[in-house]
Amino acid sequence: MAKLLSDENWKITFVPTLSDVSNPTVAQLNAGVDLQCLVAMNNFQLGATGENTIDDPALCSGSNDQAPGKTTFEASMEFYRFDQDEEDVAYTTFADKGIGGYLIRRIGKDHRADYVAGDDVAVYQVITGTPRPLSPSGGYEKFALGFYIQGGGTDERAKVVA
Amino acid sequence: MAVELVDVWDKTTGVKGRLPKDALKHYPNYSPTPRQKARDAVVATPQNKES
Repeated sequence: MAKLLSDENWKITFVPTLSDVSNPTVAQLNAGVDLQCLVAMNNFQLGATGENTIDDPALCSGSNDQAPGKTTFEASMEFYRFDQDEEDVAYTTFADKGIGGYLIRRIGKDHRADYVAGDDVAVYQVITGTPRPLSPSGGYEKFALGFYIQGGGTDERAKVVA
Repeated sequence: MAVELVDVWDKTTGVKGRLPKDALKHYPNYSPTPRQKARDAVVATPQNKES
């Protein structure tokens, strides 16, 4: 047994469609576009961040008992721009708000390896927000993008099938 | 300029989605749906082009 290493072991993929969010197929995932080398590590956020808190004490209760409410998901990241059109995949794919699809995250395996049956992945159904150009900061040109995660098409414990 | 979205489907499963037209080249496993192709053909006919 060993702990999972994170460096070079995060694979992020965008696919326009999936037939089963809990059991995406190898063919569907490998037909998507890998984003892990197009997106900056800084300011990367993808996944559940908590939930609403509902105050719901019993009438007889002397304390303000609380219950977990709806889960909150967040997805925001910054994509690099490229001078060659064939590399500028994120810019051409996430060209406007309202574009739907699925973000897939796999950890613990080399990001260059294709998806195979049995991989544990997180699947997030997303709709793009408005792409935002970032002010120059001396580094690479980037644009920021927030995604709106749709809970009905999201499974953070999905399993890839053949 | 507005981004043109096209209806596409996964060639292996037939599941439909939408992509920006300019991004289609990055997704070789996806192609425009027959309905999208029909719409494009209508738009491309000579009588629909401005003289």
